[in-house]
Amino acid sequence: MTDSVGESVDARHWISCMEQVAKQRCKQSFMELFDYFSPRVNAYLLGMGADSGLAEDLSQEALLALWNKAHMYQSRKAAVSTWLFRIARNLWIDRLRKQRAAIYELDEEYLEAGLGAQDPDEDTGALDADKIQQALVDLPRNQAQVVYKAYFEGKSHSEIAADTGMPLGSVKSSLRLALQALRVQYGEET
Amino acid sequence: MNIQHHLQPETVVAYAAGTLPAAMALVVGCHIERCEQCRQALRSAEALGGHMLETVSAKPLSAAARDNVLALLDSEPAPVPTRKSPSVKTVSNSGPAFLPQRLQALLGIDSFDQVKWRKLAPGIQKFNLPLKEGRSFLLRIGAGLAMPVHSHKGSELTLLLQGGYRDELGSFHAGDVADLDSSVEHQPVAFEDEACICLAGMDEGLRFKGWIPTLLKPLTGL
Repeated sequence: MTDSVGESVDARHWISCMEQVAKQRCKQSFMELFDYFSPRVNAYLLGMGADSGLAEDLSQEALLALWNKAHMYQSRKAAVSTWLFRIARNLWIDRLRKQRAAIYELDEEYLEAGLGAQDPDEDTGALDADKIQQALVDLPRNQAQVVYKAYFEGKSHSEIAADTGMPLGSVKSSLRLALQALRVQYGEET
Repeated sequence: MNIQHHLQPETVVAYAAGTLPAAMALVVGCHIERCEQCRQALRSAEALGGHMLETVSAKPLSAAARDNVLALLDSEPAPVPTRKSPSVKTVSNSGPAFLPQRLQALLGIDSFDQVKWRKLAPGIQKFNLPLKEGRSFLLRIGAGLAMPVHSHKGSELTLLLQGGYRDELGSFHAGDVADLDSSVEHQPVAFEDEACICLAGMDEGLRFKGWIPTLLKPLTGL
């Protein structure tokens, strides 16, 4: 599973940018990350219901976190996009879903304190962006739509069912299959 | 600890996406403190989120925002508002009972004895957690006692913290989670040897069946 042949060039490129930022405080690498990721974080936050002003503020905050916490990033554990997704999601929760903040905050502390290190083989972030891509391309259109609504519109399972006219059970099995497809691609089918 | 009952994958996805109501997110968060399998599933689900981030159609920020960020790189990072670090004790949860760090932090307790239990019915006690999204509570069921048969209007997550129970779905021990939807009707019966403590989180209320609940309901507000 650590075979790097299938690794996406992009994923590796972003990792080396992160290394430049962490070790050299390289602004050029950071701005490259900024120009690629900030419009995507912005789109994510808008999709999750932030108004345009807040989305712009939080996007800047998310990318600045990437600059300030670059030394904590571990490429072995997560792709840059995964790390940033987590940062953006936690900012969204912190600002718009306050009730949930304390729960996720501790998750963050676990990761940062390396307490999750009790999982020595936790290589699930193993960066096979190409493989993820393939797993998702192979998903039937309605499943892909369910995944999108779950992650990028912040919809609950029953809201997705109402939106799409799919039965609740199908919504759940779509998400289950998407995650399963991903994990099979990771070679860690349980 | 050997965990037998895990979260449904779609529940893990909802947690990764940040969309579970607080009452349910708490149960998920507590379970993953103990469960490596579900923690790995969560990392995969977050990788899926990361991938979605790469494929979404971009909406650029204003030029001013870019300049602003660039200008901030040279300044000292704004002091991160140090939150009151949850007074989490590094209790080794090695004993049979499992008091998750999230619960310790949320309630400021380091033992179930400190919970302000309210009597619900003979041998059954409850404590409502101060979360406003969904409903969540701790339940303490005396050794050998049965809960009324019930199903749920929405989804229910139950995490076993001490002792265990048996129901139509099997045996549940500390660390196990029951991830149920409205199609499931069950009647947990606590093991004979010890009181059972569990943390439940749900998006909506319970639906009881039969006469016991009609009796219990006004009494308990369950």
